Amino acid sequence: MKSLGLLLMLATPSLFGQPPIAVTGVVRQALTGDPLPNILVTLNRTDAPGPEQAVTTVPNGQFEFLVPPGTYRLMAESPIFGGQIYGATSFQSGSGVALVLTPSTRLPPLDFRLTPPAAIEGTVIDGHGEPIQAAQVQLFQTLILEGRLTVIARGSANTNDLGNYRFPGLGPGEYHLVASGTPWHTWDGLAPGRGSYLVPQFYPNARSADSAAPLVLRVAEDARADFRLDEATGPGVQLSLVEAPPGIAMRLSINARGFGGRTRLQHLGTVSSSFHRVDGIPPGEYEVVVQGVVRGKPYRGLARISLAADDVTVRMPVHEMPTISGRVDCAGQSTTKMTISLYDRDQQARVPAALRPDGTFISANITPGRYSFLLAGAANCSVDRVTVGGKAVPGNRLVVGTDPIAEIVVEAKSVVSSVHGILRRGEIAQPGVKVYLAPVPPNETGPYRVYLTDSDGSFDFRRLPAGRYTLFLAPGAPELFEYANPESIAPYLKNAPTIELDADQRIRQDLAQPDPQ
Amino acid sequence: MLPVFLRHALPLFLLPSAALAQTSFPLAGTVTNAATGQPLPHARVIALRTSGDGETREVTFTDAAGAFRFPALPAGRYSLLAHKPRYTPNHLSPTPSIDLSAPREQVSLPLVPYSVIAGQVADTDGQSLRLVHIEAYRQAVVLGHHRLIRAGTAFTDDRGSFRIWDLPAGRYFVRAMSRAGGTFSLADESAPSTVGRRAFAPVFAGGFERLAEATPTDLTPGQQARVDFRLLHLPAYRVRGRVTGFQPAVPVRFELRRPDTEPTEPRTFFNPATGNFTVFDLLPGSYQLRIRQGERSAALTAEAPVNVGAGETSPVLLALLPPPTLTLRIEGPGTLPCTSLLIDGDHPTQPVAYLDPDKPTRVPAGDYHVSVFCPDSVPESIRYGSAELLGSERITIPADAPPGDLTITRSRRSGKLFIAREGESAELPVLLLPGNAAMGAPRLLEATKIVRPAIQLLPGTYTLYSLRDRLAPYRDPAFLGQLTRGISVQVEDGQTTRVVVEKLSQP
Repeated sequence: MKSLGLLLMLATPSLFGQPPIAVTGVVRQALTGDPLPNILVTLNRTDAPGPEQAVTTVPNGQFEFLVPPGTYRLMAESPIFGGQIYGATSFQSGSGVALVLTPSTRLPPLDFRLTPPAAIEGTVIDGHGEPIQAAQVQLFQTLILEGRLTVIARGSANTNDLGNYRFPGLGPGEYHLVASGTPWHTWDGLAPGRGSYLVPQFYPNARSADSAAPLVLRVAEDARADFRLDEATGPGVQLSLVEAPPGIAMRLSINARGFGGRTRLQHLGTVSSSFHRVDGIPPGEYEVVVQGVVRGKPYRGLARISLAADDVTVRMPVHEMPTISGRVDCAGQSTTKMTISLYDRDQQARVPAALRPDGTFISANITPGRYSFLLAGAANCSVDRVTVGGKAVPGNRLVVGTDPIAEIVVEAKSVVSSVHGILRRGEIAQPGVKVYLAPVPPNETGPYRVYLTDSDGSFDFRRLPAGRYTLFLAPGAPELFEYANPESIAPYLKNAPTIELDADQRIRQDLAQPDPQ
Repeated sequence: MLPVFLRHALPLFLLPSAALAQTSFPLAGTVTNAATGQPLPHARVIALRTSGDGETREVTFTDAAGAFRFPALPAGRYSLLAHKPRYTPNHLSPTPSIDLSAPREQVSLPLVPYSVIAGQVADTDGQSLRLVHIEAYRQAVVLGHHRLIRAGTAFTDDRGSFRIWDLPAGRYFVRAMSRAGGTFSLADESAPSTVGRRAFAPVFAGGFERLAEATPTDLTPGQQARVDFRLLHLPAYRVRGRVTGFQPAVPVRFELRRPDTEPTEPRTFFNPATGNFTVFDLLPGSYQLRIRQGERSAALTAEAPVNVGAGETSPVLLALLPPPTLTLRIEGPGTLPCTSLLIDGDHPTQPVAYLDPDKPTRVPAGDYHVSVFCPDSVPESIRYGSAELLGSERITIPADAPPGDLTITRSRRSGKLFIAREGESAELPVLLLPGNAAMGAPRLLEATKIVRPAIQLLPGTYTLYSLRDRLAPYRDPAFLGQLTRGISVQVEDGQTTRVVVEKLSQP
């Protein structure tokens, strides 16, 4: 206990006269329950600025802090487990359960369970059974994003000299894999015989994303996904860049359809002249993208092609990428602590824009897409209306093509309405339970929200526009619960309260959790 | 089995018009592993024929027994190029040449297997460390200096394992650099949650910080060597700051330099909207933080000293500026202008800048080798500011250098040295060592039987040594100190001195 006493002293902050509150607990491996020593545990205040507190668990896994009242986020970090937040319901992400400490809080010792990471690994071999070096394996995951089932690209890996690849640090879930590559004997360009490629293979043993099946990864599992890529010959793509800047060295990517509307990379190369040829592309539909920075300016070109048996020539105009500029107006509030970013949900791209003290912003290097604007940093500013040159932008989603757009005005207003409350079962507050909020009646646009209750059972949905809402729980909902889908939430809305929320109103609505059957 | 296109292509290649008129012969043999003698299946073999009509190439693959066969090739001289993954392609060394004037059935094409360095990285508690940046350097001599050439790089995986493959045999030094570095562009300025708060100093295999003490790894062909690291984790700190003058769309790269060590790319988060940055995982000490945006000659750079101690350091301000300019000035007699070439010591085949007289040229900050060409004169001085470069031919240009001059002063006095070789026809590397640094840097020359023009030198006494190896570190003082049995040559103003190389003895 001597070493624990020393840690206690180190972790004791200056308390400014307020009675300190003890946060204690044990860090354990989630599957075995074994206590974990030597884990860095940190406590960060989230309701006010304050220094980070950090201790390392002692051999029996214990940690202890003494801190002033406030709201805190508890995290643990180690090289094996990565960073995990206390109470988080998904692996290495999510907000976790906030610790709400008031002068009267008696926090029971916390059971901090760290989920061991899982991995997917495998070997890619050729038709002779020999390892394929530098084959590309791309990983996708199906998860819930903003309340809806979404497939996201999780990364890509190249095989080593033994044909092996590995995706470590994964949580349990539904994954999709595809392997592709080019035959080694075409790399150096010494041999004629153009047009050979390795037939992309979708896990397990499928030729297309539609006929593939997900790999369901369990907690801490080391799953294997092996691939055998056969060689075939296919057509070539002849690129002819129009209006390309001189002296170009741009990145070429040829993207095919992957899983769930995401693209997968079929070919990556460098274009260094206006004419460029790529040989050996499997027949199919592709998006050809050329992008690069020439003398400090970003350029981009895009073409969609369909390849059958014959070569295709693509004439591709290359444009300087547009700059987007305008100003933010949030009812006269200062923009000094505000940040603005452009968000394209379809591409899952978030582009920051530099916001100056006078409220003007500029963002260069914008990829074509449909962007909404996100404001952060300022207490309650929420985007209300977006105009370009005085004309309203439908749905506040700005369509960006190849031309620059100036005179954007992002009108924001202060939105301070909120719904909060405490979740209890009987008399006992229920921390770490998901409370959902949906519009009444459920619609396609929302807002839909989820809140993982704090250590005192409280939930707080802030920055809500005025309107009619309902709160509900979803006991027994599937792992991938679409809480923003009117159909999938319908079974959970029986007896759910309806709340009329006016502008600038804060409504309290407590919830009772039924006893489990 | 052959890929489909090749099975169809081969007969077609053999049919063209001219070939029919000529005599054809089969050419066949085996591709083997040079280290074990084992046959290599599925290797690619190219028969390359260069003749007056141009070049023809035929391609085939070895079968499961390592055998290849071109059934009928027109008579002529062929190079046989063999290749297979994990083996050094044989065209990287002199390729066997075959005069095909009769059937050839048993040509042997040995391929030298590449080697591998693999290992495990853990901390002193035995906990494996992921995302540790490992570099393998191969010992080499570049422009007469001992250099370590980066031969391969890897990151440890979640089990602490790393693997660097396709390494040619040779002497290597392996180093654990730091956590995976590099500059990440992030709009969000809150520190990411998974950043470690402990770091380690870069160490070579064996646990030493300095190369001089490092344990080398000698790789034979096809060998897999194991190099493990136990790293001492120490508390690490971060440095914050702000970059000004950057271009919004171009990536910024952060680099950390310490005297006598290779630069590292620290883990850095850079906000391209505001210019704010945070450099992570820094151990206490003094560093030079250098940033670069854009390609080499047009790169914007900035640098600042950073002192990392316990706790938060004051924010670092980095103002990106275009590279400094350097102007070549020529003084002294002579009719033809001199030119100069700046060469990056680590990439000697890629000159960084050509300097023409009186034309300001942008030169990114860095260390360079300076080459000077004066067609009809000899420089007696090459100055950069107050630094005399004649004896070292090395120049360091700092990022914040004001526009500067590289001044070449041509001498009024010069003599000629004529080196000839009699007897043998092979070239012989000869080292010319000036009597003192004011006469210039050591030079590597080739003595041949073919008459070469005399070289122009400042008058004085020089020593000539014949070298066994062109890759000798002839600018390394330790190497020069070991040289014996050179011959002394006097170069007189306005005279030509003739030396016959057979009189030199081998060191």
